Amino acid sequence: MSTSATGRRSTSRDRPPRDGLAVAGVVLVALAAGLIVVAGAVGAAPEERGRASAEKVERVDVACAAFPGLGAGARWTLAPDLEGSRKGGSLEAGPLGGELAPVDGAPGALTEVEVEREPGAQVSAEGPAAYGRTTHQVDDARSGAALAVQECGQPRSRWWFTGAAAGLDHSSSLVVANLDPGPAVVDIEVLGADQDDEAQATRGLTVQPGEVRTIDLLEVAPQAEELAVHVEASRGRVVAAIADELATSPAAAAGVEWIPAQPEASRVLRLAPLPKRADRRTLVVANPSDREALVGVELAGPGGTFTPEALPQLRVPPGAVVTADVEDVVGRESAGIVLRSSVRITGTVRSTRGQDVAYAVAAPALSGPSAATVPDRTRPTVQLTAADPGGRAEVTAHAADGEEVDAQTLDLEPGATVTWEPKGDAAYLVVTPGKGRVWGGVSLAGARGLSQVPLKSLPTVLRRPVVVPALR
Amino acid sequence: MTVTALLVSHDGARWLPAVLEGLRSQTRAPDHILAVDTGSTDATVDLLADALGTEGLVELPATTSFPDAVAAGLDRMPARPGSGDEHEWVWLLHDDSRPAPDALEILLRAAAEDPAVTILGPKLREWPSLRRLLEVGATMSGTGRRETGLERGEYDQGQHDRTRDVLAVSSAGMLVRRDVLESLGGFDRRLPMFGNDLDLGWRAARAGHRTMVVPDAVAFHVEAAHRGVRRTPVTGNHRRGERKAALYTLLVNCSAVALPFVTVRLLLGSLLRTLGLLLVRAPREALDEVAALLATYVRPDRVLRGRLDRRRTSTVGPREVRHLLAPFWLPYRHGLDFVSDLATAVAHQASDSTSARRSTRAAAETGPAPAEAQNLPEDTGLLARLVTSPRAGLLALLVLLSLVAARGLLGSGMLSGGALLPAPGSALHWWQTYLADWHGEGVGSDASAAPYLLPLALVGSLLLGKAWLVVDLLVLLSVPLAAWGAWRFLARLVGEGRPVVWGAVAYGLLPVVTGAVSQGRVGTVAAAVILPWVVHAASFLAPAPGAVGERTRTRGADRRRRAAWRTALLLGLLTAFVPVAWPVAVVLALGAVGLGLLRDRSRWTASRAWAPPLVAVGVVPVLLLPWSLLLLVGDGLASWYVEAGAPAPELVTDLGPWDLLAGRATTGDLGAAPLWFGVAIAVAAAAALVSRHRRELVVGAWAVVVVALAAAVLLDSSGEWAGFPVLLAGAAAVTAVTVGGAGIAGRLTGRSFGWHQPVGLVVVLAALVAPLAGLVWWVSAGVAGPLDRRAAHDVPQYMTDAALRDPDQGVLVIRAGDRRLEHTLLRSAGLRLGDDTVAATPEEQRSLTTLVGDLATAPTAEDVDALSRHGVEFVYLPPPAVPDLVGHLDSVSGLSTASAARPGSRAWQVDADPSREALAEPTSSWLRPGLLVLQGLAVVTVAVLAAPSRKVRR
Repeated sequence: MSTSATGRRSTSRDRPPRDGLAVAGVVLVALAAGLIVVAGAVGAAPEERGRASAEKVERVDVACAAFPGLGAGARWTLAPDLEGSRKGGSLEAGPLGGELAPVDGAPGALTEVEVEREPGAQVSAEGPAAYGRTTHQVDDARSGAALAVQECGQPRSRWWFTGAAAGLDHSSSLVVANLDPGPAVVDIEVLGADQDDEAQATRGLTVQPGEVRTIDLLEVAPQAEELAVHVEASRGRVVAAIADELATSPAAAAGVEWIPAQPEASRVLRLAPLPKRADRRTLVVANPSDREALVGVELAGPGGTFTPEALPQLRVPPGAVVTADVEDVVGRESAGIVLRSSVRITGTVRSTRGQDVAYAVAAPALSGPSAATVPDRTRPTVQLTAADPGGRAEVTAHAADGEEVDAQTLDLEPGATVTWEPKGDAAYLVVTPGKGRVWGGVSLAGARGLSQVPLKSLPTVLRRPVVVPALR
Repeated sequence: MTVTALLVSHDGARWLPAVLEGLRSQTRAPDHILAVDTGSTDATVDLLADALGTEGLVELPATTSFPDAVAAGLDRMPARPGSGDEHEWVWLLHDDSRPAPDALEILLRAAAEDPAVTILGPKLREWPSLRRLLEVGATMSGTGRRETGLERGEYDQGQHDRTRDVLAVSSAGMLVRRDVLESLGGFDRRLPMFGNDLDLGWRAARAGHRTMVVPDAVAFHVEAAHRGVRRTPVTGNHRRGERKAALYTLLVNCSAVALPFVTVRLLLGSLLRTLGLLLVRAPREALDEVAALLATYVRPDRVLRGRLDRRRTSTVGPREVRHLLAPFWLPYRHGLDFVSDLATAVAHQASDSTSARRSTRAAAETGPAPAEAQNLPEDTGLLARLVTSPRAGLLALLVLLSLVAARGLLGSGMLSGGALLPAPGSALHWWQTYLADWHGEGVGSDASAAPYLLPLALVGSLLLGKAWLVVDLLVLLSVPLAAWGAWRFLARLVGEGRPVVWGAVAYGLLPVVTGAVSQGRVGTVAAAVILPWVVHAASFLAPAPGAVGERTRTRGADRRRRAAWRTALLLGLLTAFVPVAWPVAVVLALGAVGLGLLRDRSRWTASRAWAPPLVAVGVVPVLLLPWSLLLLVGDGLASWYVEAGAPAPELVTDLGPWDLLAGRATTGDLGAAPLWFGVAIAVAAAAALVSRHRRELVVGAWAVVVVALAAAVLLDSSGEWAGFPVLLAGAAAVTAVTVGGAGIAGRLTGRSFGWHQPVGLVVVLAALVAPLAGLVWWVSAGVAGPLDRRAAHDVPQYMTDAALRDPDQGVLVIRAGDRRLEHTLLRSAGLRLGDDTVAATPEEQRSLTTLVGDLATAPTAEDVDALSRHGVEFVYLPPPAVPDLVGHLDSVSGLSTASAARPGSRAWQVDADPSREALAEPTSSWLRPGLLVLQGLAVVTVAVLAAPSRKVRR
């Protein structure tokens, strides 16, 4: 430190040499300020670790339980000829819990799975045969006037169903199947219209491998008219479905339908568009949360999305199920309903026509091709809605051997619902989203009854989560 | 009674006139005087010939040893007279020993009073001081040390004047009966110069003779050979000669029973002494020690012959002599004294700065001291100092505030969370992790443990193995610990005073302000504690100005050299916790040297100017050895970014300009301080540039700010935690403000009124308020963040028990992270602080990672088989267990559900017996142990070189 020396110099001269220091100081402060500004501009490189990878589906196992009490039914399995489809692999089918036998399943061909009706069927595809594989089950009421179509489910641990009941005219049964080699333990929770503080529940129900268990909701929640059912496997995975029987009038024979499942409760529900003609349409909304739900109702009609004046908002108390008649709101248009809620909810629209019933549940936005089987003697209608800023989808109709009988590219206005009816005799339909967020469903109507199938992306890609060693 | 004075001389002309004068002035003159000269080359022979005549002088060659000279003198002495009663005495004198006039008279009187005494010696006092005591008889300790029972430099005030039997007296002034001397065979010829008097006394005692010291008789002795003043062909290296003599004397005189024990003890003792001498930076003395040991131990025949000679003369058992030898505990007391001296010296390591401060203070306080000040006791005791010291007061206050701020983190459980893993059960775990070259945790790894485990293990061992205490003290008391160092450094820069209090508080808050404490960033926290000590040591590296005296220059060079090693040691410690500190230090050191060369070429081209800073940074990689070298072949340079503690990438946020300006290394909502603290200090630091007062230092501090910010931007852009650079920038800014603020009041009032005063006042006020408000914020907000105190276990106990029993039964923990799954394979009670540094690399864990990915996507029975081959017995999903993964694991065969008590967690047991087929085999290599030894040597060497210089005393 030479303060005293420099101090002397500064007094003895007019311009001390330390002015160089002052300049250096200013330069340094400027540099520091520059670096601080640069820090804002230079961010860390976008993280790669957050991106999940995708791989081709190599295995699909599905199960379809027989509709309790119905006599007739058929199952059809299909892997549409998609980009990326290949021949080969193995496709097997058999009774649930029984021996599986090989089945022919070339890409594009709709194959009937001939398995004993009871207790249900299992279809397993491996390798290329699994790519885009979907299986549908069609059940007919003995009266011949009610049609139930369901897409056979893959095992998972959570299932939500809305619109079930445990009454006299309207009753539902929960069917739970276990495809896995180990036993599954499921908890069944039922929300009712009476806003019971303690939701009725059955806990710890064990389903052995290959077993199908049918639970009559009357046993869980007797005399409840509107129910939402939550199935959660605390151990293992199950395939769950709800078989619904509804007599539209006390004298009429019961119409039957499978209530399609909703994977999770959610704050925004985009329900599959409703069939054009229906006698009654009832919106059922369940609130599994512990706060009241304020649910805004929007209608996605052919011209766009709007909020109906007659039904701007629904209040759903916590743990309760609320219904609303939306027949007047929807009218005779092909429209979808979008529900926006303050808390997570589940919902469906029950449509009845004649003696039969159908459910429009939440349809996820399509991330890839989707397919629906068309039962004999029914007229399919594809109904698609696109979110902002609109979208595009290609729809094709195919014969059972895969031959394309009709095709069209649909341009979708934002928020508007578009319908398409294929010309000719189609055995199945394929919807491939082009751009935008597109969701929808297929309405099946005919002499055999009314049914609705939400469009879901076919199992083509498997999301592989990012896995990293901790601490590195 | 006849007495012959036998004077042995060699080049003693300096003292001889006085010695001869002493002989002449004896009140009882010797009957004969005989001089034996051993080849003197100075005026000795002439002086002797003048005084004694040629017949009284025996001239021998220069290679003659003292025993030979005495023997030659005895030969030349006249034959003993016939009468049997009258004994003939020999009075041995050296050419550097002058007897007092009455010495011989008193000795003879004593001999007459007690005829059994055959050897007598006077009290020896130092010549030329004449006052200090040298010897009043001597004995030997078990380690061969010559024991006089005197303090070093003790003045003779008659306190040891007691005539008593001793083992031996010095041969300078020794009065010995001629017959006894001859019967004992004279002095042992194998002891040419040193220690032969002790040996003679010991032999005499074993032969039944008595040796007595007569303190009334006084002789003055220069001890020219012992002090190395006189070098003859016989003395050789005096230290080596003395030690050799001591070893020989002990080996030949000890009892036969004790001989093996003495042999081993002397061997080990000598090695220990050698080590000790090396540790106190005395390599020459260490070399002498080893040389003496070797010279004695490679010639067992000399010892054997010596023992045979003694057997012939000894008549009493060794037991009879024992009371004359030094007590057994004496060497241990000397050892203890040595260690405590050493500890005191190290504790006063900074005596440089203290003495510098003292001298400046003394210079400032020149003038007559007031009478009451003179009467004050110099040291008023520890308590009084603590109470009156502002530093102690501030630190006590900060400790108190720390405890209040950490109120949520006190209690049971382990401090962990964020980047901090819980501390291990004992410091032993750190030692094991650091020293092992294969780690069985997880899939197994041969990674080199990070260097910070070594200081942690050392401190943990000092705290009786309590590893948790190390972490708790470091993290919870980081503010006072950092402030302590900052005070020391800043006081060196600007002297004690209020600016230093401000600076210490402002700096102490930095670990909290950066967010390092709340995130559990143990690296940055440790860096905050160590950094001031590094810069304090580095501040001694600046070369002295040109115009100083040679003595000052030498002392300054020594101080700088030691400071360089000290800086290297501390910088190594800092780098161990925050590796990025080293590149930053290299840049700063090179910059400083470069700037020095530009500004003052003549001074900086000398190696003593540029070498210390470069040594200080250059040695660091050697100090961190296994890690620093193995890094290059392992993770590469990226490891320099990663500081101590887990990386915790989820807590690393992209720093914006405001964050840097605020001095935080994280955004505000993750536990760092509000903006105003850093802004106030930044503005004050910029304002410090305005003043010309010590602008050089302020500009230097700003240069550090710039380098630190550049490092921060670099780390930030690579997505790493930039805690240390931000801390360094803050520290430099605080230093700039402290330097600029010292004496600002005087400077502001000294000027004529203008814009300076109001602006200066505002800046000063803002700067003053910032740390105060920072303290209030810190204490009121408390330490909030991911850091928490919780149970160290999060895996069910039965699983860890199984894993501890059999390492093959690993527990695979899969945790849902930020949009990803994180897996850990445990084979112990869980990961502890430091385990992360030896975790296998992602490459090494690839097969396990792929396996977990398969399990989480579409598991098959083969995947479960692979699990067992990876040594996995349990799969555990801590809450919240990922539902998809739960479903997958439930669905696959080969796994059965296991119990997991915590709500939301799930566990499975693998049905197959686990093996480690799929895992890497443990490896071992000589490289890491070798490098560890090298590191140990490097650390000890640098520590020794950094230690205070020893004053060599004789």
